Amino acid sequence: MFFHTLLLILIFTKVNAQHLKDTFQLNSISITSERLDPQHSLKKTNIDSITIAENISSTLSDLLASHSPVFIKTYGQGGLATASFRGTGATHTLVNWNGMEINSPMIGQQDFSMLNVFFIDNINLLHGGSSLVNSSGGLGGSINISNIKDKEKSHLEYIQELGSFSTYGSFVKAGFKIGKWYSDTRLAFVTSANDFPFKNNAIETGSYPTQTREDANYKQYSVLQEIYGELNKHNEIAIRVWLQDNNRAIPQPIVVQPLPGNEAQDNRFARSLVEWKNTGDKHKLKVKLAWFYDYLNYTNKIAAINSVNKVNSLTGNINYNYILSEKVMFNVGSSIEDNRVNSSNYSDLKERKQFALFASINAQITKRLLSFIMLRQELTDNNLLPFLPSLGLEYALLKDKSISLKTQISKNYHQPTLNDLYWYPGGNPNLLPEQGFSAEVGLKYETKKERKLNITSELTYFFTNINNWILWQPDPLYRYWSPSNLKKVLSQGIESSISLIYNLKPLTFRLNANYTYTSAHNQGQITINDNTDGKQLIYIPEHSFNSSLRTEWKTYYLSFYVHYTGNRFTNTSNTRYMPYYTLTDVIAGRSFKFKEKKVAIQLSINNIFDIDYQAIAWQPMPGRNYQLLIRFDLTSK
Amino acid sequence: MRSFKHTFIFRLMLLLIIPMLSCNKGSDFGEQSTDASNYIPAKGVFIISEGNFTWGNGIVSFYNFNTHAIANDIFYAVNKRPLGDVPISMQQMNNLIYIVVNNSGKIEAVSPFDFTSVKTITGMTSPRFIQQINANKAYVSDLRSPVINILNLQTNTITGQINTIKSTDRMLLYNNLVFVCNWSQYYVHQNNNTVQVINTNTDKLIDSIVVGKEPNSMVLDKNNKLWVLCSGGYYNEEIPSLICINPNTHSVEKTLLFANKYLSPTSLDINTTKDTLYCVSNDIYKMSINETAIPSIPFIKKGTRLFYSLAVSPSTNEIFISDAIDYTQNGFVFRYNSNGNVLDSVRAGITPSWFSFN
Repeated sequence: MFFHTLLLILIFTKVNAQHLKDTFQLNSISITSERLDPQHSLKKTNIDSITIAENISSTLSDLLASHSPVFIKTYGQGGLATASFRGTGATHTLVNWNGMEINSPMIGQQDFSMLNVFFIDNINLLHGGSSLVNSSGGLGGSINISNIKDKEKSHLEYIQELGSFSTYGSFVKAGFKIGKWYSDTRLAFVTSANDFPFKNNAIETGSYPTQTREDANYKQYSVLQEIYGELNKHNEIAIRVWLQDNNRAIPQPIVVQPLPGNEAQDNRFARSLVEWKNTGDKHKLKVKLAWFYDYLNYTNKIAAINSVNKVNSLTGNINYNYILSEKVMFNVGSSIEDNRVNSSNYSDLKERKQFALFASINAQITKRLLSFIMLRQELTDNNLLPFLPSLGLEYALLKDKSISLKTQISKNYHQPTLNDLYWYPGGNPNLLPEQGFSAEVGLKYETKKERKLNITSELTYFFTNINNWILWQPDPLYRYWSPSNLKKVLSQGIESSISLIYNLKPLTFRLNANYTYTSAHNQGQITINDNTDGKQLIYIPEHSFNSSLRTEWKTYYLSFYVHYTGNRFTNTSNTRYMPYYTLTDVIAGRSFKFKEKKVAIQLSINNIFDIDYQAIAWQPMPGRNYQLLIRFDLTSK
Repeated sequence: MRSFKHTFIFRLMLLLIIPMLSCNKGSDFGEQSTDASNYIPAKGVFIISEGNFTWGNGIVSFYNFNTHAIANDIFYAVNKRPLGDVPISMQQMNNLIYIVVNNSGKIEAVSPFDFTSVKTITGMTSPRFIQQINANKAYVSDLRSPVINILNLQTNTITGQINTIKSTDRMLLYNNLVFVCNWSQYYVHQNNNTVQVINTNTDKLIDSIVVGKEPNSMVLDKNNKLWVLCSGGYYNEEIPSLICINPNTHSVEKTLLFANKYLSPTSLDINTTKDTLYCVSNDIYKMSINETAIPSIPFIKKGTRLFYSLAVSPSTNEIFISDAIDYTQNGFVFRYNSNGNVLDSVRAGITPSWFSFN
């Protein structure tokens, strides 16, 4: 496989080089004065709206797996899915919803199978230290999802999904405007028996009997209500309430004696957010207040576990942005957060208070050099945490700024989760934050003028050193697991991406591709016989690649997704691994008018080559499967 | 310009086609091992490494006494599939090797010549250990159900059950009696401070002897006295004890207490002449059967190692001790002589816990 990836890189570079030459010859040099982009120097990946539309009925985990450099570790459709950036852990990937972190304070991570793309209007990723613009803790990076006000005055949309293995999804979006107020309501109901056939490669020598996956069913109800008010030219208000209930059975790995119906999980959450924005010629003030409630009930019949966990989080956030000149911009802010957990797995009610103060300055130093400095200081339960400075620079190598060199250096940390601290038995209240130091350097190319062929491409080398990495291990007597600040991890690698739009009338091609190389190694020996020093972390592929190619012709489109996941080690000694796999999906669709209403249909064939694979050892995944989507735009004309 | 366009589109297509060509239809898609060797029969010891619960990564290794080399994952090497989830013990009976795979609820019967799978025996809830009774019959203890399953060694099927009320664990055969440790109360909520006695002629529970909490291992000494090691309980409820039972009268003759509640001793074994006991209690302890107290000075100090299990080779009197390290990486097995000098060490699988001498 290494040969393949090498070849891919060669193709990338060839394409780029040729195109660059082309640019040099054709582009006339023009210098325009642009307003300073507050997100220059950051490493950011945007998911375009076409990709979002094409995956409207999917979960965010499926979308990210095939369209982003983030590695998604998934137990399969409807099952737990977590994200890992740059070789770090799932808790090091922050998920922000409209700028507010939604990772569970208990487990520190987000289950991406519970995020429906239908509820998201914008998706972007901030890699590594770039995530510090929102909050600390994203040692790997952050995934930012947000909602934006629909441009239309009123609309009504209905989407119905029919899929293999009795998968059904119904989605409704309705919006209307009254005076200065705009309301948007989204409803989603998703259910699946998820009883797919699979080849069992764990139980018989020499044959793989076909069986049906059991206990993988799930059900999801959700509502998102948004209200936007444009009070006047300078003041806007946004109110968002998101309610969701997820029920799922938890399937067993196929090496285990089947215990039908043994494990199940019910997750419910309520997320509400009020935002006030005041904008002037030179400033922007944002005040946010959020209340999140999470309920998790896990049951395991044979082990007689019925665990109930409730989390209440209250967060306030203020951010003031001031444009001093065309070349200098300031930003100051503060946030305060209170988490309260009531869990049958904790000895009593646990609370954590956090306070943060941050300031940043963006400056254009010369015509070609942009700089970004950010400082952050936080307090947790009145304990002062280490000071976090970060610096970013972006230098335009060409006058037209199509090619730029970017670099960033930052300190970051990740707080222990409340489970790390208080889980009974095993929790360790003396844990220290995980400390990260990151540096990166990258090259970015962007076509500056609208042309037949538009390319954005970025190549980044990253380096992240994490100390005090929290590791859960059995206690010496092997009775329960307990966390400690044991591990040191050095993760480095390459992220490369290309995004290209090619207008070859009457056809339009869109290509997105990501290749990531990740070397995430344990450092040092903890005990005399420890042989994990220098070994790759488990379930972090060294190579991962995905690409999507979409061809549009009139109202028709055809897309191919190819998604390669390299070998992943499954033990810390690196003597066992899961083999690589490549998945290919084909999506075809068209839109048309029916009785003056817009209708769109889309057919997806997932895993078209019917590959047998397991993302996690002994958790089977479905073979070829189908999905039909019908979208009605019922907006009255 | 035109040629550029064409080569460009061509490359674009190539970009997508290459990964497609690498698709691995029909090939291995389960967890692979890079540390698997074939079993070649010799004088030596089989070592079972439990692996992690629900991960299906437990293995059987074989340490060869002549070459002093270890062959790991010998079941996977020949059968090209995982052994299962949490292999816990093995017995060689008649002309087969039986490996109990606890969380897969099965026993894998394999050939003693090359380890190829002969039969997968199912029909148990949570099998733990096997005790052979005669050429036709063996008992299989069970963690999650209050029974002992009866295994017919001619048909290799479960043919019956003995109701024990309690969860059953280690067993030891003495004349026509089997002594059974009631080690766990986690799934079957009954007091776990007894050793039960079963009559092997009638397959009936006939007696129960009160010992300490969590009896986890047993041996018979040269005087035909039964020694039972009790850890003191999951939550260290009691001071651990070493109890000497007269298996003829079922009465406790001696109770030796450990120094404190938190020592959690395990892995009781006895030497070739059956007069010296060994166990793991953080460090390794050694004592004569005539001792009147648990020694306060360890026989072998652990240092930064995490001793998990031990066994004494009946042929060489050498002591095999496992270091689980952190229970998540491949552990070590040390070979010591009876003076406590280390002879060599080898790397096995995750959490080496069971030794079967060949």
